[in-house]
Amino acid sequence: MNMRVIGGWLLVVLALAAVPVALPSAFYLGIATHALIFAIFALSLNILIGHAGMSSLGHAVYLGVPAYAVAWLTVQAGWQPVPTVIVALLMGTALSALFGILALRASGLGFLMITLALGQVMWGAAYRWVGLTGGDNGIRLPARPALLGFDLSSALSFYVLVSIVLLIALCSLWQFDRSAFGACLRGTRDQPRRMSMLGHNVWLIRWAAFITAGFWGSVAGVLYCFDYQFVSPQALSLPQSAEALLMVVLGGAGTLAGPVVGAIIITVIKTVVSSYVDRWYSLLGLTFIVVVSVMPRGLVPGIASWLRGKRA
Amino acid sequence: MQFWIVQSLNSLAMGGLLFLLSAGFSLIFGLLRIPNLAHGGLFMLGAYLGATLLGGQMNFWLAALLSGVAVGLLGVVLEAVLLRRLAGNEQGQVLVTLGVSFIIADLCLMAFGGDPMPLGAPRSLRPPVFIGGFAFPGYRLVVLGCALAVAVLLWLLLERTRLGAMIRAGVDDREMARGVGIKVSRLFSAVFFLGAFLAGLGGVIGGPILSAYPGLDADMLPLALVVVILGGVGSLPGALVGSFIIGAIYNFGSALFPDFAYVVLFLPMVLVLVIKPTGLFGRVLR
Amino acid sequence: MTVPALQITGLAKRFGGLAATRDVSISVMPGERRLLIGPNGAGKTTLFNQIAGDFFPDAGSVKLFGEDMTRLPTRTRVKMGLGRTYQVLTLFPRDTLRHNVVLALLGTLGGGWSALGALTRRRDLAERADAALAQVGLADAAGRRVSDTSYGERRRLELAMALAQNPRVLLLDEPLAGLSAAERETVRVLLEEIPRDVTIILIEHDMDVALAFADRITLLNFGQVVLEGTRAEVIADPRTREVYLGG
Repeated sequence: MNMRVIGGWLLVVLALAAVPVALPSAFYLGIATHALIFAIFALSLNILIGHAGMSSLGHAVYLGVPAYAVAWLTVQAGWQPVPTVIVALLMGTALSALFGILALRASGLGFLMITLALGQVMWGAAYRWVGLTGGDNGIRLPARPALLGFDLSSALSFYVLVSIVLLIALCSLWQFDRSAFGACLRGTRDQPRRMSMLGHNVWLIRWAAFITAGFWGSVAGVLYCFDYQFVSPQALSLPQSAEALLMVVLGGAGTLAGPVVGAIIITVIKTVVSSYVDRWYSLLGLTFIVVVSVMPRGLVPGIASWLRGKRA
Repeated sequence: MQFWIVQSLNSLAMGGLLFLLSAGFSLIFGLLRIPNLAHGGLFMLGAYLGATLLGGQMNFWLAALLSGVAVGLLGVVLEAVLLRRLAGNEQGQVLVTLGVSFIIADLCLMAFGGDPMPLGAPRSLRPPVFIGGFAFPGYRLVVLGCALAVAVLLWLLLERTRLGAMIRAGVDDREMARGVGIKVSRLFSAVFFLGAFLAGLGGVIGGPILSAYPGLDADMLPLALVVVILGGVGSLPGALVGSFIIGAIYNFGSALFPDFAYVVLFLPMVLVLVIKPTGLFGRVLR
Repeated sequence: MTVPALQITGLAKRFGGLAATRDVSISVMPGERRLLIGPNGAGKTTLFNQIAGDFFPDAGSVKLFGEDMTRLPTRTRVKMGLGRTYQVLTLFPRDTLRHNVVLALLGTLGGGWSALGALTRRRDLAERADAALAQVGLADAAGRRVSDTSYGERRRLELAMALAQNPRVLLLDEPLAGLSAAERETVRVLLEEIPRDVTIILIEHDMDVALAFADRITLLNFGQVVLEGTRAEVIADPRTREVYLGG
């Protein structure tokens, strides 16, 4: 492992550790926690968009369904936190396996429309199936549970947990990126026909990527439920999927840092703007248009090539 | 017995409404390969414009036509200003049209408030119609009639006119169309106008049934998607048949299992995807 | 009697009203070099697409060393020993030449499912990839990106990727297209050096090279076989002139 790689990881750990020191108030730490959870979520969506080259507009399914599972199992079934988390992750991942089979019947725009429609199915179910989900009122989690002996009720302790999970996610996705599977996945993105002529099972590679994205999305979903201690159909909505897509595209699809940067920027803007004006959706829409028109490749690749240009 | 007759008629009316909604989406998607995710927003905008004009005592049909034209012109601007530069960049088109739909939704909320705005049907069409001894809301049959008329007119336009021939030529082979002197950018504007016009018109005609309310766009967009995926992307007969299938499922679903009606709507789409991914009338794309 | 390396029987495929392939039967013996000729649109590449399994025929069968693969997916055909290069280059332009060949190796050897460990650390794969690149004279270019190489080098990379998979039957779609005279000579020598245990079916418009290379020639027109024979037979046959001159 060379020095630059070690230095990069050290920088990430230091940055994560510096946040509670710089922003000790529970309010700001809370915002930082939201941002990191959405960073995990955006990273999971980036597997599809950046690595597999498939745009999904239904990724909120894997945020919302595990979040509902955590809330329901805790509140209605009275389960302990550990089995609750495990079952919620399994549910989200299994659902991605099922929806992946349906969505991968198409590619390109067809894939996008099917993921969108499937997302709406889950949103509609959460909204209308009041007996299970509480409908528009959602489900409230009375308190953040202790997990494996760790008390998560304070803002700091929860921030530490989320940071550790983000580090694990970053590390695994970094490995994923460099691995044989990551290379094959990018191959199916760039030249799907050639990949099958080289003997690869393009469909299976894409399906595995879809499930991996579903798993990491579910991880974000579980944390989301613990974070807000509340889940409503909003978590499954089209704007939620679209926001995640924007995070990835804004930061830079296909890069490791891009989705994290995008998630932090969008979360901060959203929090700041929402406290001043209530025109968040107009601003979100405008951001979409500006990002696509001004920096279609995203911030991270844009800045990287700008730096390279300066050095050369 | 009464239940079945009334629900069947309702299904047909709902199918007509869905066709008015999805024909424009299918047209733009099928001919230009642009997924216009602002379509639900344009439909809602049409409904709000219609409600405003009707509030000023305007004739219903004139209000519908004017709203359609206004929304159609907005569509032309969208295509020319935002989408033309993104030719071939599907993800960009998706994000931009989605962004536009968020802005439309937010501005409608700001301009018209959060309460639903009713649209009154023309007075002469309000009395119930008696079919086989059962009273049935007359306006619903009018919606069905409008949908069928639009279907016939669209078919005539695309298959029997010079403009239609040019549109089809421009879509099949852009370079070739340019070569024989067809202005492809004008064709794109024309198709976008037509698609957006249909959305606005549909919003007003559907208004007396749905009314205009915040969230109408988000309710309608998935329905348009389901109809188009079911019928086959870009196929007008597909959109028509898909609309009536979904209309029937929506009505009988809401009546028989109210909690799951919305979910049941998507089942035929799932079924068709598994069995025939190109949709009932679809061609293979790419 | 030996089993043909590739046996196509009664292959037919229609797209709408257009017959892409009409009752094509071709039998190629192990080790043979077979040349497919015919005017543009005769259905040569479409025939390759069908042999590769891009789409399934309406009728007929395709067998590789006696094994029926008519309805098998492309990837299975590759594992059975089918290789192919493309007329229009289909490479991974942002990656290195070595990485391109490694993707080919992962396709036949397996191991593409590992999500742990950096692919660049797989010495075994890198060595085999470099060997394949050396075989086509690109040993020095292994670490360069495809986008930084010349067109001629890319053509040779196509060949290296196919050869790295140790195919038993190799479909070459215009391997000389767009090359300079010097590059054509380089590739011609490379093709001559491919061992005889590889059966080759070639589409090529450079008749000087192709005719010298081929054992037998099949002439296609309008999706069907017009005639088949040795070099001399096909050249002498009046139907060849008819097809090309539209007589």
